[in-house]
Amino acid sequence: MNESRMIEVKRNILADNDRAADVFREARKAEGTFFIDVMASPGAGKTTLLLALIEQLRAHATCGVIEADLESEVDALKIKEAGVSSVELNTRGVCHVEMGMVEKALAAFGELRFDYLFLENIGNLVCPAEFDTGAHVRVMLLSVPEGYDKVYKYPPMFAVVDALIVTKSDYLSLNPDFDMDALYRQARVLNPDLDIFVVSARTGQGIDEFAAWVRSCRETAMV
Amino acid sequence: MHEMAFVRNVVDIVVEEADVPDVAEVRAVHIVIGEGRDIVEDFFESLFRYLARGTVAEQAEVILYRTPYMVRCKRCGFIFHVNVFDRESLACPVCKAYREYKLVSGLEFYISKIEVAGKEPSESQIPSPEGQLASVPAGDETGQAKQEGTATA
Repeated sequence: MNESRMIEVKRNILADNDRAADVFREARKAEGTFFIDVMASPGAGKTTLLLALIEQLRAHATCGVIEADLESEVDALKIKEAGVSSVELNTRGVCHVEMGMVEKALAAFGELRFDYLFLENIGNLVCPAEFDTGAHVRVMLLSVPEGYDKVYKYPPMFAVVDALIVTKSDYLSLNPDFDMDALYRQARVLNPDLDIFVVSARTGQGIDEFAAWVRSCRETAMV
Repeated sequence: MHEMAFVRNVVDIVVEEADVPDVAEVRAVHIVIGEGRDIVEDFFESLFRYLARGTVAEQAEVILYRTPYMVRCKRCGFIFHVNVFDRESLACPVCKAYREYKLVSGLEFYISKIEVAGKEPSESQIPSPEGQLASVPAGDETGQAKQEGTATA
C-alpha cells in the first residue's frame, strides 16, 4: 500500500437536509405561509399551547398543523376537533423530524395552504435541535412542572431557538422552587437575544403577548 | 439516538470524496463537531464501522475534534470562549461587556478532511506505451475495480 495523503473535504454533514430546508423555507415564503417549528419534551403542552395560539390567530388568518409523533393520531385528532387542519406525521420510532418528512406532510394537505403552518415536533429536548426543518422560526417550550433546571441539562436546544415559551405558569404557585430568574439568565448564556414568554393556556396568561410576537415574526419573515 | 442519520451522510460523503482513481482506501476521517452538538462519540464510531462495511472506508479510523462555544463581543468584536457553567466567562476579556455577544462557533458539524492511501503503481495508473489517451478509460475501469475489490474484502 502506498503512503497516505490528505484530501480536504470541508463538507457539512447535514448539507442535504439544510439545502432542502432552505428551498422549503423560500417556497413557503413565496406562497405566504409562515412556518413555525415547535419543540419541547413530551407533556410540555405543545398541542394545548398551539390550540390557544391558533384561537387568537384564526380570526384573521388560516392555520394548519403538522403533528409529529412516534405513533398515534391522538394530537392530530385533537387539533381537527378544534376545526383546524392537521396532518399526523408518524416517525415510527425516529426521534426527530427531517426535511423529507416535512415535505411529505405538507403534500398530505393537498392543495390547502395556510397563513401559519406549525410543526409540532417530536417530544424530545435533544434530537430535534440538530435538524433544520425549513421553519422560519423555531420555538421551544419548557413547562413549569418540568423544572427550570432543564436549561442546564439541554443547552443546545436553548441555543438554537428564537423564543422560549415557559408553559403552565398556573403551576408556579405549586412549584415554588421554579427559579424564573435563573432560567432567564441561563437560557440567554448561549442565546443572548432569546425572546422569553411566560404563558398558561389554561388561564390565558401571556397568550396575547406570544401571539403578537408570532404575528410580528411573520411580518418580518414575509418581507 | 439520531446518530444513524448523521453517520449515513458521513459515509456517503466519504465514499464520494474517495471516488478518485488512484485511491485504494480511506485510512482516516476527520470530523469537526461543535460543543453544542449532541453527538454520542462512541455511537458515532461504531455506527460508522457498521455503515461503512463493504466500502472503501471500512477500515478508516474516525477522528473527532470538538470545537468549543465561541462568541463575538457586540461592543468590541473580540472573539472569546464562554463556559455555560461559569458566569465569569460571560464577560468580554477585552472591554468587559457582560453577556453582550453573539454565538459564532460551537455548532459546527462537518467533515474537514479524509486521509487516503493510494494504490500501488501496479494496480493504479499503468504507464502505458499507448500514452495519455489510453489512460483515461483505464482510470475509469480502475475506479470500478477498486469498489468491487473492497466490497468483497
